Amino acid sequence: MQQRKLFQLALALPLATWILLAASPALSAAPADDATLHTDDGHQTSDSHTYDNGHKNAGASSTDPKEFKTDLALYTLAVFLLLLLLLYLAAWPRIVGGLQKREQGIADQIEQARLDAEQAAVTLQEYKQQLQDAVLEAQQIVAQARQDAETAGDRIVAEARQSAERERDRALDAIDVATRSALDEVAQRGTEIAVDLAGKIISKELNADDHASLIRDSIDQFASNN
Amino acid sequence: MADPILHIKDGYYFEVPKMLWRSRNDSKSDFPDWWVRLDDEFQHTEAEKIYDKLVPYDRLGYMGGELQKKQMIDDYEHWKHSGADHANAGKPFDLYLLSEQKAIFEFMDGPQWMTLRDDVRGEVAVANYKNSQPEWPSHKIEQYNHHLHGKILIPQPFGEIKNLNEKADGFCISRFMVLELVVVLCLVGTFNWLGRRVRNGDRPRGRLWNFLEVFLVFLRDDIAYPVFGKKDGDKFLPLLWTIFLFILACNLMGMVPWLGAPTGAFGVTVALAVIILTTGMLIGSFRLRPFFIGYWLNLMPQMELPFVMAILIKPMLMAIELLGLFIKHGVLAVRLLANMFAGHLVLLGIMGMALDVADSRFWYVAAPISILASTLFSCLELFVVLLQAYVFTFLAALFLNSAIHRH
Repeated sequence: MQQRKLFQLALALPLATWILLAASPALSAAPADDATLHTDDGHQTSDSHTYDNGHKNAGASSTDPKEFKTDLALYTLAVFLLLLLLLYLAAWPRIVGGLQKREQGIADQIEQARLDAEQAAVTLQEYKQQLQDAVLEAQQIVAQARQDAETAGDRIVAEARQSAERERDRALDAIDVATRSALDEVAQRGTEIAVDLAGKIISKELNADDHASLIRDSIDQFASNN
Repeated sequence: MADPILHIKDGYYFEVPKMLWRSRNDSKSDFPDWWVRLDDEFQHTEAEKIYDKLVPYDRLGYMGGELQKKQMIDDYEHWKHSGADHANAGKPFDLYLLSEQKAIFEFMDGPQWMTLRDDVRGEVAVANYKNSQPEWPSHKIEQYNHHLHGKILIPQPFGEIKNLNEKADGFCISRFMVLELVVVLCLVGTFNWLGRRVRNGDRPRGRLWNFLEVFLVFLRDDIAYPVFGKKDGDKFLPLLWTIFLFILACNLMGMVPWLGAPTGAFGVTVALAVIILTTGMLIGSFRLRPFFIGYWLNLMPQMELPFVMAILIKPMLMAIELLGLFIKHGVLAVRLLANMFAGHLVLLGIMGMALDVADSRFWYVAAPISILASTLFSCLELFVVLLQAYVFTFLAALFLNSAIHRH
């Protein structure tokens, strides 16, 4: 906004100056202007042209717009040729060359841009194709993953099942082992008891009641030990 | 008051407001020679001398005593103030004799009279008169200074002027000549500056660069290439650019207060038209076959005529076309002159409104109106300035094209 105002001011000032300057003939002709001048003897004269030698002895064509002045024509001819020569030496070839160079540069850039656009279109097509392929691939990967997951799940379930079965079998085996071990221990204890009993029998004559009582005690003892 | 048209026409001075340039001559020796030569007192002295010189040659008793001398010189003074619109003001005695007293020369031949007149001029040389007594009265010097206020006289080392608008002899430097030189310097400086920036083919930067390029590219793309084609267009471009810019700058000089448009002078526009005419003739003569004659034969329209008729008609056609060639180039000069002169005449007329009522109360109404109107007409004039430069260049391109191509 500030810049705009400055610009307007910069335009307005010369314009106002120009108007004032251009209007100077009208302004200088104000009524106060001393169009009549005093002479030494106190008289005034309005016949000021008597003293204006500037335009006296005028030729017949001095006020003719078509007046042809040979001096001016020859001078113009020389000045124009000089101008043509100077501009031909100092400016025109550079400007013609510069403009052509710039236009060639712009044409080259447009051509390059066209080629780039074509290349970009091809690349875009390639990328689109690649993207499409990637989507398909991703879908395949997902499907595969899903399938793999399902397979893995099944396998895991199967393995878990197998593992569970193995655990169960192991547990059963352990039970069997424990059972056998217990039976072995029972057998071992039975043997020991039998041996012990046999020892006791050997050391004391036993009647039938004793046998029965002994066997009962042994069984109770066995039962209490288990 | 001098004819207002003289403000538009070429002169040997620059006119500025009186307050800006004061003439401070104290004695007659301070005034320029040509001014003194137009002084009534000087002319009276010169008239007496010429009369005295002529008396010995008077075999018919036409001239003689003091009474006759006084009578003739009185008649001369009366004649000077009698012409319509002061046409005889300031004319020397010899012109009066040639105009009004032709009988005197019946006993003299031309060269004899010229020698006698030059002898008198030698005797009453301005330099001698300036140093002689008595001095001019102070009111006369005051009046003379008053008329010279605001007039910046151009020094004349190569010639002598007759008055502010006409030369006496030699080569006199006029206001339009100075302005043309200023135009040349401005154009060379500006476009040398532009050339140094454009030559690398960089993009235009800044208002001035863009502004100048607009003209050049427009002339190339809208005149040179469409008229000549690209190949010839590039060859003629420097001439078209130069002629357009020269005319435009000269036209624009007329828009600057206190200067003037050199293109408002017939000599300038004729010189420009002559350049176009001779360029076309020269290039056409070299290009069109058979060498040199081809150009002139090309002026005639191609017609298949029986031999006898061709002998009769073709020379007539040639004469008409030749006349047409000069006329159309002449019109090129007249068109530019008329447009520029007419534009300034309109502005002068509007300003004249205020000047005509300068001594009355109407001035307070007329002055604002004339200032406003002249401002508005100046805007129109600005358009005409550009348009006429374009029209001249465009027509010049068409004429050149028809001169170098067979049609």
